[in-house]
Amino acid sequence: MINCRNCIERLYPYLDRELSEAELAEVQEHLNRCPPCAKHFEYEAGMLRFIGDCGRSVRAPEGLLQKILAHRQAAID
Amino acid sequence: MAGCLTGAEAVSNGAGTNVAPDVREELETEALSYIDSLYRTALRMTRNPADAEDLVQEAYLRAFRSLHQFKPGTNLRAWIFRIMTNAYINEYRKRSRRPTNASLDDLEEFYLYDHLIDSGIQPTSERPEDVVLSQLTAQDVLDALDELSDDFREVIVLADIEGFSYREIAEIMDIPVGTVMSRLYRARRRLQRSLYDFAVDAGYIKDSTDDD
Repeated sequence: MINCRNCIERLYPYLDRELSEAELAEVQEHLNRCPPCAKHFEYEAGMLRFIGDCGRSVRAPEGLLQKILAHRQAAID
Repeated sequence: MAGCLTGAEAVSNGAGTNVAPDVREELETEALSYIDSLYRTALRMTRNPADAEDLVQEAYLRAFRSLHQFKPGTNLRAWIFRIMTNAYINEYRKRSRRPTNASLDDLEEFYLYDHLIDSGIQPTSERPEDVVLSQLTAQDVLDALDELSDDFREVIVLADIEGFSYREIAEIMDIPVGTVMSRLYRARRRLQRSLYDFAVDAGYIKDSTDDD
C-alpha cells in the first residue's frame, strides 16, 4: 500500500495516463480509501481540463490554409 | 519508435517526387487537418499572430518538402510538430529571447489546491475556475501561460492543450522522457502560481502564502 506522499508523487503520471498497470492499481487503491487525496486529484484533473479548454479555444485564422496551399506547389517542385 | 522522427529536418533535393501522388495527397490532407493545433501552438511559442502564421506556413513547407522522409504508419501529427518546434528554435527563438524563469525553484511545491484550502475556500472538482478564478477568461489563462519560459510553455501546450503523450513530447522536443516529466511538473507548478497570484491581485482570494 502506498501513502499520501507516494500517491501525490504520481498525481500527474496518473492524470496523464502514463502509469503502468501495477502503479495505477496502487494509486487507485489509495484514492479509494483516502478522500483528501481523491479530492486533490479531482481538482487537478479539473484544472488540467480547464487549461486545455482555454488553449483549444484558439483556431487558425481564416485564410491561413489558402496561403499554405498557394505555396505548396513551390515547396515540392 | 524512437527513430520515427529522425531525418525530418534534412533538406530535400527535389525529392518530393519520391512519394507516390496518392500517398502524398493522403499525407498532406491529414497534415492540413492539424492546422488549428499547429497554429495555436505556434501562437503560444511566438506570442505574436503574424509570427505564428509564418511559423505554421514554414512548418508545412518543410513537411511537404521532406514528406519522403516520413515513415508511413508512424505518427504524422508528432512528426509535423517536431518540424515546427525545430523551425521555431532555429528561426524565431533567437530573435525574441526572454529571460528564463526556470530557475525559480522556490515554486516547486506550489499546489493551487493546497493554497485554496489554506484560504478557507473549498475547491470543487467540477469547475475549479468557478470557485477560484471565477472572472478569469481564456485569454487570462493564455496570458499566464505566455509568461512562462519557452521550455515550460511548450511542455504545457503539448501535454495539456494538444494531448501528446510523454514519449511523443520527448520526440517532439528531442529531450528524454524523464526531462519531460520533471519539466511538466515544474511548469504546472509555475502556472498554478501565476493563476493564484492573478486571483489574489483581483481580490478573488486572500493570499495565504505569507503564512507558510
